[in-house]
Amino acid sequence: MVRTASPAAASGNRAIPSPRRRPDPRPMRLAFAASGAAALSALLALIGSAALPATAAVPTATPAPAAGGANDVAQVRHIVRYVTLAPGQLPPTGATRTPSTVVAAPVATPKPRPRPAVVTSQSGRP
Amino acid sequence: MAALTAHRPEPAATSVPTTTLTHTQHEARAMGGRLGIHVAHPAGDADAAARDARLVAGRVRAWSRILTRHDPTSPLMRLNADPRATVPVRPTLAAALRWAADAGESTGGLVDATRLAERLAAESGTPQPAASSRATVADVAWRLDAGKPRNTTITRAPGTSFDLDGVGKGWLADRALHLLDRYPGAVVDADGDVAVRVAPGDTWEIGVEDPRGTADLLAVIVLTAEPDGPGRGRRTWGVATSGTSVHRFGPEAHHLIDPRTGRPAATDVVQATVLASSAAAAEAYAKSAVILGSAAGLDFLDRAGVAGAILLLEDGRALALPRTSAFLA
Repeated sequence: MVRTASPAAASGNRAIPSPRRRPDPRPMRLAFAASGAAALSALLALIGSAALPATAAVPTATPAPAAGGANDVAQVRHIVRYVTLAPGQLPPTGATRTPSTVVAAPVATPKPRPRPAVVTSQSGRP
Repeated sequence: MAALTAHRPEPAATSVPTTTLTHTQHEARAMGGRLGIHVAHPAGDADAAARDARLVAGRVRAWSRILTRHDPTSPLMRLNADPRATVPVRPTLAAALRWAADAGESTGGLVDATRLAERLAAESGTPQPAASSRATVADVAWRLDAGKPRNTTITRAPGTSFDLDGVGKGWLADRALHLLDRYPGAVVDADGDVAVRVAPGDTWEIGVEDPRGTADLLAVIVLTAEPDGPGRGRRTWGVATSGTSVHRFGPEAHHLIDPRTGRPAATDVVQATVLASSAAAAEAYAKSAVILGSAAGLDFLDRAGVAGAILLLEDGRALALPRTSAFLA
């Protein structure tokens, strides 16, 4: 027995019209994927910047290194941004003066108590 | 200033009641100093806690052998001796160098892991004159490239030598603390730089040594995980101390190099203790405060947002950031 490819053809009815040509979906898929990736990237950047603490007041000259991802690069340039002025000294040109606002409190002697098992000290203590 | 944070987010809170927790302690030597591993565990886990504390101590010793500058065959010193501009580095050394980069960035350059030559000069008792110290940033630039996993390279200017003594111990303490995540609480004391994780309902007391040789402590820091306590329920902490009175090599020579001069820091701070979110951060901030001196140092610590700080000055006064008092016994 010979089977034909189409039941319609086998029945001898009128020829089936050739299917309509549909547009190639691949360009649109690529466009959707690209826009999705861009939106996700922007969202992650927004979340990352919002997670920075409010105390991040001093601008940094080099980008903070990422935490160990693939192909990331930690660029390190040592730029000292703090200069302590002795009495009579003038700040470098363009420097921002940040007068101290901290009023330090004297540390009270701790009440007598058993010595804790853990003690922080300068390293190399004999 | 970008705030320094703990290496990982805090572990999820457990509901172990205080009465069931016991503290087990293991003391060892590592990094040329003391190493204390303390584990808070349910009473029935004492044997496992003691075993794990010993294992963690062994791991810390292995890490410190990678990062030491006192062994010419260590990976760190082999890197320093390598004449190539770009050198592959293994994961632990790469991670420590990455932390050194972060610490330098976050302290505005005050913590600088490339000051080995200046430190060795200070240790010889003859610090380099300020005029001969490196003055240009380009001379000390370096770059860490992390490609595929376990395939990191470092590129640095000729003559750049790394010294991780100033940033390594707190970092090691934090790293070791994470090895004990299965326990409700733990403390890793890496020669005075202390990483702490407090179990809910538990308490850790951290003494602050007085370097003037008295038996008394300068202060005692009390850490709890109480939601209404000064730490507002925070469980992971770091406490670190830095100073100029232990490593002294002459009247003006000590081991804390001010990168602005290339010489031992001229400072009125004998010792700084910082309470922060991680031991690595506390160590970097404490070192920065000593280098800056008391006035600028307290201001720097305040802006950095540390939880607390105690500075012992050369005139004998002990000063603290006001918010520190809530943590003191």
